Amino acid sequence: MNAAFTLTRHLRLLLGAAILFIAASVQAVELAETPKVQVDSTTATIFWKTDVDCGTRLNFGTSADALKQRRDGPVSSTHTVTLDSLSPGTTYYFSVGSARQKLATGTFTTPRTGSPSAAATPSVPTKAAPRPLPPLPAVAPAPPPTRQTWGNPQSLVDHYERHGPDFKSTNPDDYAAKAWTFLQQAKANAWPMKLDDSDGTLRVWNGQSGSFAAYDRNGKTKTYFKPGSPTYWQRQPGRPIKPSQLPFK
Amino acid sequence: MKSKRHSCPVCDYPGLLEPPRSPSGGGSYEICPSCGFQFGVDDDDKGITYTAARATWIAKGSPWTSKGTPQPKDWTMKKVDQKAPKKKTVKKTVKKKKA
Repeated sequence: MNAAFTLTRHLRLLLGAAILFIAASVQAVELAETPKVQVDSTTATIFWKTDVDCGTRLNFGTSADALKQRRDGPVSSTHTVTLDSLSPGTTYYFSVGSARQKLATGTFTTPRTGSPSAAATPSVPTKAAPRPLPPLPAVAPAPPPTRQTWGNPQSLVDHYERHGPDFKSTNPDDYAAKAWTFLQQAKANAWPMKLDDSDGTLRVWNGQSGSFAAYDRNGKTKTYFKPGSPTYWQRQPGRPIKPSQLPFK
Repeated sequence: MKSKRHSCPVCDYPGLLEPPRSPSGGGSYEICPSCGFQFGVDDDDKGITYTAARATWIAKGSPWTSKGTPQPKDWTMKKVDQKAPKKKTVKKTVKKKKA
């Protein structure tokens, strides 16, 4: 009786392990687009795409065998990491992937001050033909006046006093401008968004910074803050929506 | 034409611009200019109940909290206290705790 019970138990464990192994194999992440780098003398932005959603991790350094610095980002199939405070005229080596898996490596060289941008050289071939990414604007557009971006002007000072310190905002207009910029970045980088069809509220999340914002049906800001609860975003209602599907520009 | 206003479930201020909750259950993110409760943040993020927020606000003397929205002349602390059905609930709770 005991032997039969033990055998059954072992069979269950083996079956569980097999299911886990198959699940892990099925969910193996592959690169859908090789890393692209836009670089100037002190900053570099690295983009890549994966065939399924996964975490974002980039390791980099000035030696190929010592990628000591790390940047992590949100779970997504479109990954963007920006590195700043780089040294001009320096070659950097990087690897991209997730916490579990390295998908590609590459290098880029920051131009010396005043010289044109350098190109990146990803060193791992990929299964998918690379598609060109839209170029980043050389200079970020200036935010429109606050009256065009904030939903209820009378409420702005109250939101600023409460949430402005989350973003080191210096005044209500600065806070409103940062909330507008957050939406532009969310659209450009395909950050998680949910549209609440019941009242038209758009909710936007950036897991890397832990920032959340809500906008009305016209794209004007309702609030912008950093929730303290780690499950806040998961509990927010709405259906996932892509930037191209938004009801406003 | 004035748009429809909504009452604050914390302090009963009748001038909220949106319902505190959408039909989906999401918060409006509006900060009540009277008691300062932010729907979808104070409750969903900080876990503060309406009852607790009301008790706290009354304990502070029911101040008008907004710096951007002026206080209506007909909205005073006295009026709040007169029409405060939830205040009785708070008192009962306190009595129970004492007992």
